[in-house]
Amino acid sequence: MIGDITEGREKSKILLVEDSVSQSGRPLLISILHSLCKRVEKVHYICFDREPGFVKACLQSECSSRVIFHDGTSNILGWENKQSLNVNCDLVKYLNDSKGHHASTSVAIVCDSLSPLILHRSAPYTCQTVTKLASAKIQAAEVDQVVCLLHKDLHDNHSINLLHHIATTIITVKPPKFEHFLMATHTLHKRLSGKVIKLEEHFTLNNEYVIQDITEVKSIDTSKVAMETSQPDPTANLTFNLTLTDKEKEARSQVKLPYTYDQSRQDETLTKSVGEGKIFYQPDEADDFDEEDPDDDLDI
Amino acid sequence: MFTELKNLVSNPNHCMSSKYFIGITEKKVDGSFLIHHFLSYFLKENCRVIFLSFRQALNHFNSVGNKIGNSLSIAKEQGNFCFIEGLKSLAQSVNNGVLCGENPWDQTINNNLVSADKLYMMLQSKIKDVSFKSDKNVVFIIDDISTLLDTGTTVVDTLAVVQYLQHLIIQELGGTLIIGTNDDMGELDDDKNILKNYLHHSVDLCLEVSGLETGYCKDVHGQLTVSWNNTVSREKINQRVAQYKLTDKNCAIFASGMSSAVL
Repeated sequence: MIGDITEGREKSKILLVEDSVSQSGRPLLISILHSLCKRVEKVHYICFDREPGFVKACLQSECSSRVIFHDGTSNILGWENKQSLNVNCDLVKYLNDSKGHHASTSVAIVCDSLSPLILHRSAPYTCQTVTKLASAKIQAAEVDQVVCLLHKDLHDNHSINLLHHIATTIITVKPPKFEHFLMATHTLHKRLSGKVIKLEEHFTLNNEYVIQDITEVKSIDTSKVAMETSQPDPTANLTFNLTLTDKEKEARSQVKLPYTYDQSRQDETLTKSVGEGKIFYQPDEADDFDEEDPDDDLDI
Repeated sequence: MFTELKNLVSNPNHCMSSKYFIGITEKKVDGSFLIHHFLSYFLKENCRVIFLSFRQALNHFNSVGNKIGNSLSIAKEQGNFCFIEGLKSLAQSVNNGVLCGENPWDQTINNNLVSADKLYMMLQSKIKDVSFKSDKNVVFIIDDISTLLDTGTTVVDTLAVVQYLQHLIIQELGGTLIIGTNDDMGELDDDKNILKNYLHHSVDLCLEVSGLETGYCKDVHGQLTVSWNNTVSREKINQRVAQYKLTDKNCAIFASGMSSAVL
């Protein structure tokens, strides 16, 4: 599933990658960025968190020409009087005004990250901006996908829930449960049909930031449970036999106990012996076993 | 400078005195030995150190410096050390009216609160003054920034100051930024928690000092967690945990449970 979403096989307009201190979501964001470069003409990368050089250093050479970096870190609140991207800018207008980056067919927008926007503006403003970006036309090109990173441990639940409502896919990044994976993700994907898919997966990234070894957590968990429940069999190494085969069980069920009431046995005895008294035990339908000791009243 | 601490925190792939961001978090213990260490380390590395202290006066750092073989007064005479007093002046400024003489912090105050942009402008002019004098690497240390939260500055404003300083020191001047904060209340204090998490997300090297889980011990003073963050890396967070013991002039570092008092 995570592979389908990042590679674009599963359509998603607004993709939200949530991370926390314990596991950074930026490697996954770079993986998505590489796949976007193969699908769209230009990718606008908006930096509010770390300077563009930080991410640029990880990009493959064939991708760098397609990614246009917009640095919002140098003057994030517009304190210094210079014309640069800041949180007070109208992002759609800013991207349309940016010169020399013409794309005719499709573009994608990556925002790294939304956290400064939420902190310095507000969560509703951020939601509006993201939805505007998703439906906007950037210099006559359609926006194919908007991908946003969010540090969820910097915000309250209310703000995060607002963003969850507008996002079509939410990937929450967590530290992996198993050593050999790089990270674990919990994906909530809202399909166009209205179906909502929830999934937990583990994976690693190769040198080109391509997702590899995707393993669903569910399958790992069941195998773990099976391993835990397989307890040692006490009858395995005995010198005598405590278990019965099916054939033996069948043979045992056919054995008739003595003194039980049975038509053929009764007939047989009646015809063979004449003038002799015989006892036949026929159990009552209701249990007639007396639990009390019959000799209880005797003083022995 | 504490040699064992230096060996523990040094990063073989990155020089600490250029384009480096260090965050120090302390939880219910005094982590000021890290500040003393970095002060003396960067002065020995021949950097220009600008130090904003909200916790102690210059005299305190002078006397500790003398003990560990680091003379701040000589460094100051040579122009390598600049101290920005934040303890007394900030308290005077936010407490309106009890002023003695000229107070540089007055220009940063608006309605009895520290105004983030004015604070940054003040710091920026001091930093630029120092950095223009020579081409040595600049190191800016704040101890501890959570004091701003305690004086009523909002967490958002504090984060803005951090981000502007980060850009100025690391991107523009190519120096090192060290910010200390405390996390005594843990999850209970939302603002300090956000500040701590923000630093975690932004720093290259994160040092967390905390007390021992098992309580006070006279032979082991606390635990130090060192994490080298590289948020774009395809490898897991590189983390090391060690315990320390502070003596009069030194800081002994050993692996957890390997104190000579235990063995």
